[in-house]
Amino acid sequence: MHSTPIVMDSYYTSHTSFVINFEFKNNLTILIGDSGTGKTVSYSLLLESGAEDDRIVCLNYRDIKKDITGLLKSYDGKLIVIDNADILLDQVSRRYIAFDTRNQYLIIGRDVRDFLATEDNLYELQTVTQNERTEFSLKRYLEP
Amino acid sequence: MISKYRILSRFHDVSLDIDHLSTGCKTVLNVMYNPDKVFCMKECGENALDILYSLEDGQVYSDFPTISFYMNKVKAVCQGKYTMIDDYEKLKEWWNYA
Repeated sequence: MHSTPIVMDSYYTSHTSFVINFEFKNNLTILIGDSGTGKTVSYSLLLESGAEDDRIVCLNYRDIKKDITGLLKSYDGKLIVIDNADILLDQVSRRYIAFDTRNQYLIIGRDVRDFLATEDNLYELQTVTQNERTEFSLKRYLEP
Repeated sequence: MISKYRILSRFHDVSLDIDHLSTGCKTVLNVMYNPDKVFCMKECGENALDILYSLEDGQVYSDFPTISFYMNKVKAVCQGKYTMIDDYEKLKEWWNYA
């Protein structure tokens, strides 16, 4: 599924020696890839940014008892970052995300069912460490 | 591992408590050291899945076909019978009905 990002085309933030430098090509970005590459670290950095940037909302396993679809429906104009998406999202919330035209999504998880996702939506992290600074960026998981 | 409860992070050589291990790494260790328990593998990355499928013992669970993107053929076993599957859609079908 290809769609233009609604909330932001890119996001840059730094925290201690870590830098997030994400460029979004789609409204739905699904972050997959190897374990231990920094997906949850990136989530933590975005969570930190969310304290100052009210366009960012973060959800993870700690929200498992909440009504996720209800929460998603309450947001407007947000980049919604969801870690542990494979356990947090059910079929209803996935379908809501697929058709949501008010928010943008960064989903960390490998279950792509019900998102109407294609390879255009799949990304992995690219990490560059230089002079004790580690920068995370997004890279197409399956190169066209 | 640098001690019983500490690991060396791949980033910046800092040491971290073991609760900062990746989800996939924690799952692999849990499966290896607790063969009598079943662990959800839905959150595992490609590298962790490859290790999980290479283990001789251990029990895992997922409600959708969780295989590495690089696997192009799998041996699917159900009640002692096995079948070779080389198509992800067919694997989904098998996973749902096996």
